[in-house]
Amino acid sequence: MNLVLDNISAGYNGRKVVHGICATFQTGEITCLLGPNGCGKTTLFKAILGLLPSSGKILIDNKLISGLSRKERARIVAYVPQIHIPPFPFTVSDVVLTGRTPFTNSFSPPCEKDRQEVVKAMELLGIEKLGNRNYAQLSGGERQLVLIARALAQSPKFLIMDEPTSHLDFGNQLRTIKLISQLAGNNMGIILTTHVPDHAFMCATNVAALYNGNIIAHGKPSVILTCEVLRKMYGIDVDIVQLSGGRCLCAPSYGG
Amino acid sequence: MHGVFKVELLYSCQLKDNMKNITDMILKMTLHSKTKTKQDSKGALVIVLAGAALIIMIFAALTTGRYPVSMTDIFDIISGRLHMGHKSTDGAADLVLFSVRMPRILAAIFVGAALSGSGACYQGIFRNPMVEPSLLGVTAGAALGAALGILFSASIAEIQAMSFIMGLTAVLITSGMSSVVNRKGDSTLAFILCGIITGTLFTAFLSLVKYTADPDSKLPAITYWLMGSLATVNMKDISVSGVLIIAGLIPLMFLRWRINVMAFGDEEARSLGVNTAAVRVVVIASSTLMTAAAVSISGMIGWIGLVIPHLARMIVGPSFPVLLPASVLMGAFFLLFVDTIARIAFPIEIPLGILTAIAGAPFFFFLLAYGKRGWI
Repeated sequence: MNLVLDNISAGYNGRKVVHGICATFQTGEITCLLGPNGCGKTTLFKAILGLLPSSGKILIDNKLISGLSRKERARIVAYVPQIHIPPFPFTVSDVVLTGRTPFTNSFSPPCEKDRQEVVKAMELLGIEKLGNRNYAQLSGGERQLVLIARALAQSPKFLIMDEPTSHLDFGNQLRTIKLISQLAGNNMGIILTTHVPDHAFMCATNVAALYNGNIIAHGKPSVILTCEVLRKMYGIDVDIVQLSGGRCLCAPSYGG
Repeated sequence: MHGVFKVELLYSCQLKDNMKNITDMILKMTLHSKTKTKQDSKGALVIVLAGAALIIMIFAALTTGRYPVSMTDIFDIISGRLHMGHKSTDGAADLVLFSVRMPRILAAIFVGAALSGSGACYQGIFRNPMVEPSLLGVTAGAALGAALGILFSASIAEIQAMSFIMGLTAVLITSGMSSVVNRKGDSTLAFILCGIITGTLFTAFLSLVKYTADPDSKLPAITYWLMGSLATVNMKDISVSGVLIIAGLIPLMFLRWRINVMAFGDEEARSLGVNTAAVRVVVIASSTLMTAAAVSISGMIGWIGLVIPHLARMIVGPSFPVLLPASVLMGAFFLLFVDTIARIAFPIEIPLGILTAIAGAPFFFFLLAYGKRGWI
């Protein structure tokens, strides 16, 4: 399955933040969206999710996404927001169960089958023991896993993740990246944003470099993430160091 | 001696067994699968217990009061009414039961259920546990309507109608203003701020009406209305308000899962396939209808819409499919309990609004201090 953005422009109050974005995402691939703060990453995500009005076409397997109902769309594209705390002390099961909303009738709560799907999604991520815990009292890493479990309960084809590694400690960042690779291995299409180009080198099939609302480079990380592109996006000089295993690391130059 | 003790022991064992069987049965009914969480089964149990407590409270309230009516009298009168030929033995008891106590009991149940249920819905939809039904100006509007009705010497039915209509008007004004203010999409904040504008404005108008009202007759009447009471309700008021309250409650019961999802914020709810704008309109309209219908027959009764949803949330958790029915039942029980106290405890009847505040304030403090809370 593929998700195609054809000339997408979107913004707030008539002011366009992203202009004429064209991109193709495949299931089983990881696309990493890189760019400085305010470059339009979140705006682009909102446009894909239908949370913002946008011009241009979004196609899923050559079918217009605007022709789908909100629920049909939610069964294809799931959203993993940044870690947050809801205003009420929901249990982990409550939170994951909301992922089954696109499968429920508009006037009824989820049913038995939905609860089974929730258990499955939680088992897949190894958090089935957290079911009765208060979501607000979990650690950041656990909360991230709960939000991913909720998205998996939607059984989507594409997962849109808004900075899944921010707010996480060093170890959990890596575990999340590994998890993302596993999910892509199960034929899920993943689009994520990150502020750490190293993460793109680790897991991304493709990188899209977003700058001032335009994609300035798009392709394999080893090809796209050059010193020039990184300097243009972030305004700093970066050395790209290749480790003996072949993986690349970014080392920003610092002071004298 | 020995024998009696044995029998008693046997009896108490049987009772214990029976109780165990009943709780097992309830648990089995709710726990028919492994996937149900502890919280779900606890929630179902609490709902059953709250329903049972409400029924017991109804009978307690029927037998309580200045005129003595025993449980056997009640069953005699009811069975007398059921068998048309059979004439009731005690006409006075019949009158007390059906014309005095029953309307008040029903009113307490409807008003308590409406205020608590709409409070829970407002808290869910505005994602704020500190919100209560008066948020969007419905009570301020209802108060102004009632005050105007009293000022113009309207009948009780007309006063209720004016209070109901002004309550709805206030919320319509709030919604109208918030749709003008809200250009960016954070409609929740716009709603709350515009509710403050409407509330302040209507309260100022209310003060104006009080200022111009005759201080010997009209002003006390308005003041007493504002304190809240169920002393003057009759069956006709209740049938109208009851239908309106049920009409408001039905869509809320159907949408209770969507309200749950909306507690995670608009964008997440929309990405999960919820039509948030439609759900918000229906929930606000239904909750407002319930509150306006309740306030129009009871006057100002504060605290229930804030405290009872909190209590319910602490017992059954925040998941709305369970929280809403639990809030409704507990609100009905609480107001019926307080109103029964109001009828009998003091030589003169204390207005309900005063009692709910006096009972509610320390109760809320204890909830905050010792209850398990998740939002701080």
